[in-house]
Amino acid sequence: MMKTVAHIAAPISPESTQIRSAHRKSAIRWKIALLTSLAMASVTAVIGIVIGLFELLGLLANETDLSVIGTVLLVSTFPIAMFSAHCLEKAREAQRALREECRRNNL
Amino acid sequence: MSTAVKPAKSWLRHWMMKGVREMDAPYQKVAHGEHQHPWWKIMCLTGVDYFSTLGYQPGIAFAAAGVLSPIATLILVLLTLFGALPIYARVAAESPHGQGSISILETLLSRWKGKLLVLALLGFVATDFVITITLSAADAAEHIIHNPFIEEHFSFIHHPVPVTLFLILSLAAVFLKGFKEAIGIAVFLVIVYLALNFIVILTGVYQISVNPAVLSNWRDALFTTTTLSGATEPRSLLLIIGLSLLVFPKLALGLSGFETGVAVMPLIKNPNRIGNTRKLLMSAALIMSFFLVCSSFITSVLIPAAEFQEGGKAQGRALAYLAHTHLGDMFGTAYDTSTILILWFAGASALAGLLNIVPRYLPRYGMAPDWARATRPLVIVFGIICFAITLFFNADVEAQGGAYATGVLVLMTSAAVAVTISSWRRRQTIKWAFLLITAVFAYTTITNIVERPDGIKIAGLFILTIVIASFISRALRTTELRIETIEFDEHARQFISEMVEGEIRIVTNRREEGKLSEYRFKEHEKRIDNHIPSTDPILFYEVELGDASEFKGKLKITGIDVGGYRILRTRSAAVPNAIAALLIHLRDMTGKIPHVYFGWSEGNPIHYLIRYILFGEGDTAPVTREILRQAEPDPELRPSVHVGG
Repeated sequence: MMKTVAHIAAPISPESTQIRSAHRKSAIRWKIALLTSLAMASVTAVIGIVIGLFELLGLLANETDLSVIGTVLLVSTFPIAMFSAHCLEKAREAQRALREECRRNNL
Repeated sequence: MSTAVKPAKSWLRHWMMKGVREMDAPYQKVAHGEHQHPWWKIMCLTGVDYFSTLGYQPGIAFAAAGVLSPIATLILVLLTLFGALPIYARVAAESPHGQGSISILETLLSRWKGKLLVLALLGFVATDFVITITLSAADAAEHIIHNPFIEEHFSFIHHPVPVTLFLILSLAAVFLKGFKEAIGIAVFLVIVYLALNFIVILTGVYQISVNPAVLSNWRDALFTTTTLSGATEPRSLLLIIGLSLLVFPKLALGLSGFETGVAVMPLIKNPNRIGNTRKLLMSAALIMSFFLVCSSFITSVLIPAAEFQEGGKAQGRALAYLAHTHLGDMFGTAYDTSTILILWFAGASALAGLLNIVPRYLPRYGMAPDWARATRPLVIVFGIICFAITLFFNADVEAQGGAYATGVLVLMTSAAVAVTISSWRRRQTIKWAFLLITAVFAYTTITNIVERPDGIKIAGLFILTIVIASFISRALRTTELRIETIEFDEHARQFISEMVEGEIRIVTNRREEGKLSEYRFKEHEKRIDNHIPSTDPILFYEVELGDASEFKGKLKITGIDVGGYRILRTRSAAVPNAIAALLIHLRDMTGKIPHVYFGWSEGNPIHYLIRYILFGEGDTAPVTREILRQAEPDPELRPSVHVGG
């Protein structure tokens, strides 16, 4: 059975459709960047921690190439994670803008 | 209404959680006049960490720079006076509650970025303070085992690791028992230690004056260099300065402890706390500069290079070596005792700093379990970490120097960055000077990291452990009530008092246009979906999403009338928590069980769960119900949740 009450929406302007499409695309782009950077940060963190722990436990000699790579990975995790945080906020902003646009058009 | 700490379930929990603190700001509030002291006494509190560096700094300086160490130390002193001092004087002015540069940087970045930066800097703070504890204990152990009295009568005490572990254990035991009188002890230790050091330095200068050959030997070594073929060549003053500039970052430990000057600000007596803090910083920097330059000079000139090497009698205790050699074992033992006590107390100061800074941030972000607000569990955790660090470095003072310097330098660089950004935003001319200082600190930090990567590795492991543990904790604690207090305006209070006659029915609404037609439609929909009698009044409740990265907060609820529809509006970091908090509050206020009405959300529930953790909203109905279930264990007393549609 259909519900008896519904909102009667006003006609949607082509500009609004374009704006919503742009916000939707922006949100998707930031979400993809977020997932990619999160995956990268996880990988660099895990490998960096493993190499660092191997060194701390004496299983890997200091000042080897692998040791340097481990340090670089460990350090690079932080800027990548900061980028993830940035993407998260941008994705949120795009979603909020999309919701505002929908609200403005009674969608 | 507040989320109180759960009552103790056992004596162990009661003992562990004793003295737990609530902290809603990144600084500890000190009541007017309570536990506040003149600035010079507080300088001694900072001084136990800063001045105690003299115990090991001359040895580390000589090991790093050889005969150049007095020149490199002079450059370090210039960096202290014209770099660190103006930076921290500005930090003091911008954070009068002692929040420090971390708090300034937190406000410069938005939401999750700000919190992530704080977590990373906390990693460096942890590195700084933990290695202050282990390095100070290791150097105190050096002073113990190389004391002639101990060598003669207690020859079984010869390995630094067990002695260092014992010192750390005793430090933890003192903190577990409770530690109250710190200032008085710090003043006594610092005055005695500086007086003894002054005597040693005067003696050193006297020894050089009566034996000028040692000075000319040092001058010859300074102004000549040996080539690969073994021939000696003269070294110009410019080359000496250039080489000293290259090696001085290895001496950065001489700055350690200065960064704690701002953290102790709340303990300084008002009025003019900022001015008094500047006096504290200036005095500490001048005193330390004098002792650093003099100690580096006399130890480089008077102590044979071989004694600084591994197993040498001056290793990690250069001034103590001079005290024993030139003033006898009686004075030397007094000097050793003073050094051991101040180094041990430097560890106490660092542990107190850690215990102060962790509850400032992590529990406030919801990024630490509840027990992290208590002192004793933290003492146990940090004690275990200090044990691990000591075993890893084999209680070697010199080996820990790089890691320690990294922690200190990153914190100082971050302070310089914070001050530069702040002056840039205010368009002050001094921004260029701060930028130059930042560049010098950045150079020093990077050089140190490249030379000695141990520090960045340890800091990196600390940071990642903190970040991972923090986010797990945040995810696990996300369904706590998280609202500390609720305030209603006059209209909101009136709407609620009018509802008390019958059933309290709250209809949640995500506001669209906020027009009469919207509420008419929503009311009709909710009444049909949830079988709400048409005669029963309803109250709409709208939560606007605030900063989702915040964990706890206060609700300010306003009442609005739209064409006869009564609406409560608020703003919160998490929507379900704000709804649950209002329901519990209404129940407590009216003695009635309120009803709340939701509609089902379209979409994947797992996706919604992730959205809730990251963005503070998602499938609101089940999460609200879960928050209520956790907040009120008795189902009979729990507000009723209805989902229709």
